[in-house]
Amino acid sequence: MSRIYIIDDDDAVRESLSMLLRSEDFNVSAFGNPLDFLSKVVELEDGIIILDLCMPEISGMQVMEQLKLLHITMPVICITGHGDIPTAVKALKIGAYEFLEKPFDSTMLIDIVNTCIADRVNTQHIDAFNNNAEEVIGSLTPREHEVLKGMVGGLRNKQIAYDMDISIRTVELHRVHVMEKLNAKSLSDVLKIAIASGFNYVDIPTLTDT
Amino acid sequence: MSSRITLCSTNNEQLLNYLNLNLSAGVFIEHIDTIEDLYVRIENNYGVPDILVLGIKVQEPIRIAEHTHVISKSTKIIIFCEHGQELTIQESIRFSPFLSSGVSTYKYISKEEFANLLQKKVNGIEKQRNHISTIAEVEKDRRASITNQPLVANYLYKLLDRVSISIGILNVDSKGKILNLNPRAQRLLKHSERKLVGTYIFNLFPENNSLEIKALIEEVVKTNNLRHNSTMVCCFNGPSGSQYFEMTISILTHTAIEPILNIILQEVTLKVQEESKRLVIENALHQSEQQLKLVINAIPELIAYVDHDLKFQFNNKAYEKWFGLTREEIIGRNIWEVIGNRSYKIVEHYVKRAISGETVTFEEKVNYPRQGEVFIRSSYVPNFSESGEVTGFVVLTSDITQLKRDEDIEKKHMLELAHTSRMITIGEMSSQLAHELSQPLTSIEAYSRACITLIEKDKTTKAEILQALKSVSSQAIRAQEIMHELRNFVKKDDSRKNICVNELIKSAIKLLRLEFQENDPDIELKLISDLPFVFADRIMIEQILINLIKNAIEAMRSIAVSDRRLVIESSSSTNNEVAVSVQDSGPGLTQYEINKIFEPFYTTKPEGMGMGLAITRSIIHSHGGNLVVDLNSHGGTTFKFTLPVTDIEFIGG
Repeated sequence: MSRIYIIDDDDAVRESLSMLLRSEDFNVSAFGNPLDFLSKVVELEDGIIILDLCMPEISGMQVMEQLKLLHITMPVICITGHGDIPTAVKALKIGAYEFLEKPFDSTMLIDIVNTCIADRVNTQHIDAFNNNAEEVIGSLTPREHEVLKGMVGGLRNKQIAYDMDISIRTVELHRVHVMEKLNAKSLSDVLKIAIASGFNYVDIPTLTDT
Repeated sequence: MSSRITLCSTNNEQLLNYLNLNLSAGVFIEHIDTIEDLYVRIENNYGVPDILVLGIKVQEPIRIAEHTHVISKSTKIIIFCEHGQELTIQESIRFSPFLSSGVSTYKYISKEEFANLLQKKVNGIEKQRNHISTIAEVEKDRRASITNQPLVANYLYKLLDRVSISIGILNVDSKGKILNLNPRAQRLLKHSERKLVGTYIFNLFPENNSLEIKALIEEVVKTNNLRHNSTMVCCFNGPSGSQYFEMTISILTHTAIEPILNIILQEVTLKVQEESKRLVIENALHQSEQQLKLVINAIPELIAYVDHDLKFQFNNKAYEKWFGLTREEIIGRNIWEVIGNRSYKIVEHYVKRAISGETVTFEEKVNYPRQGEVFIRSSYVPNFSESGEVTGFVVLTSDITQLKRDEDIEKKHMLELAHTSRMITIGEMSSQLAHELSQPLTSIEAYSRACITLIEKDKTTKAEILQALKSVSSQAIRAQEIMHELRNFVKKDDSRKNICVNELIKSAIKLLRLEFQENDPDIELKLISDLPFVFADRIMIEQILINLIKNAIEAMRSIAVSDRRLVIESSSSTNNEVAVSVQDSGPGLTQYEINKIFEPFYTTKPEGMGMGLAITRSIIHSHGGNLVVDLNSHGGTTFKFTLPVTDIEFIGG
């Protein structure tokens, strides 16, 4: 039974997620205060961290930074109410395993948690994914590259269409092709692959900006 | 005065009587016996005879005649002589150095003839005497006039001296040498008569004047006409500074060999000083006038003066430049001839007000012959005569076309800014709202999912489910509270006032004017005049009108120009509502579009966000009205919104 650590300052979210994951037979420890979690984390057994990015005392991003400094390699699933793409890109770049925008379908969270556990068992998969990323990105046409750049930059289809001076329909078509080539199910997948490939269009704002 | 005839002879009574009777009345005849008596009388100058008759018996008549004539030359002497004596006596008379022609000889013939002779002599004497007395009288008069002359001259001098204007009088010869002068002239020239007489008049003046005076004298002499006179003003360096004299030179007389000139000096120092002062002032005035002119011409505003007959009297350079006319083409012309009939029609009533004495300032769009359509700001300032009548008015006009354009652009920017900031606010609000709502929704969903799983797995307790459901309930309430706060925020807007929708329609059109393109249709307004007020947010409703009109115009850009029609209608219904409809003749909407059009993020415009109509509808709803869309008889779209006449509380929706 894997252990899951939930860090969210919102009582309702924290408790409901705890109950949800417990109902799925996970061992859940919940922390309302991220500093409290950070102070104990080195002694905690290995598990998966579900982290709210928007908290008053210390942001989720900073928590991830601290974890890195403490050499904690537990995977982090980020959840946030402000689900904009730059935030997602930033989180993924820092090393988040996954990014989820509130409100989310709870089955999706459970799926992610399960996938994460599986990935930890089979690390080869991750390596393969990383090795594959560069190759896959390289297979994109220049147009698809442009569209990907827009997607990673958090632009809406309409804006991408405007920037490239093509119709929205064409953008949508390119987008579908990109998703297919990258074998991505979500924007999050696309971002992960792009980041893994070292995709140089992914401009990450510095942490202090947040 | 009678003539005395003295007979010196032997006494002859008879002859004496006869003579007394026959000679004229004024003749006195006497007889003396001895010649001694005659001498006594002559020497005493008493009873000197005018005619002395010496008889034949008188001894040495020549000697007596000589004696008499030495004393009294005028006495006529008749010497009686006998026959034979005549020649001798006449000879003696002729050669006597003491005798004049008044001595004659006579040979007696008869008493009658003698009387005749005497009478003739008497007549001659009397004639001569009259003559002499006349000459004497003339001489007397002459003497009298000679004695009077200085008096008259003196009188004249004094008179001239006493008149308030100082007039100096000098007589000079043809070379300019002073012959005489009056006291005033002495005073003027600051020298006594003694010093001045004999000097040359022009030497008294500075060199340049001196030459001029000399030339003038020569000219007058040359002209030699009594009626001619020449005048000049010359400067005199007196002890108390410069003095100015007006010098008039004329010929006094030219009967003499050399003409004598008369010079009249009149001090005009004050006059000259006044004149030079006046010149200075005039110069300054001229200069300030020039400066004023410079300023007026440098002003880019149009300045003109129009008289009561509506004719131009004055205009500045800008005015000429503006209309491309010369001053001559403007001055004297009527207003409409310069600005054109079309423009005059627009300003005519302002002109009439100005002419009636009112100062008017206005802004108008006019059409000038040269510039075409321009915005002007003008002031007409009437000018009044002393009696209070309007004599004309000053026109001050500036071209504010650019200003207007800038103003409009600024307004447009403001509008855009307002719109953008509103959109940003909406974006921020929805982002905030999304975040706020995401928490309860996430937890509700998670609780629900947990409960479902636990119940499915049948490994839960009633208490656990109850606890979860309570949490779900409280989270749902939390979401409601957030919604409620949001509505309160929307309602909090206290900028609602009683407004007239017709005015908003007009102002919205005005604001939109710049967005109109060349082929955009004129907006047909069907506004009912007695529209009741609605209680609404002016800016918001105006923005809604702008959005709807903009949409309508954009919708028609794809159809033929002649088919474009835009109607805005206002009306009020019985159920206390004001309705406004915006109708276009564009291609219209499909039923699908009509269904989707108010949904957020639904848009057909590439740059649109799809929020416009959704927000519009929610604003109208928040005002307690409604917004609907429908197809109209022109095949286009009609958006119609209603607003309640009275302020009704916001109720749900």
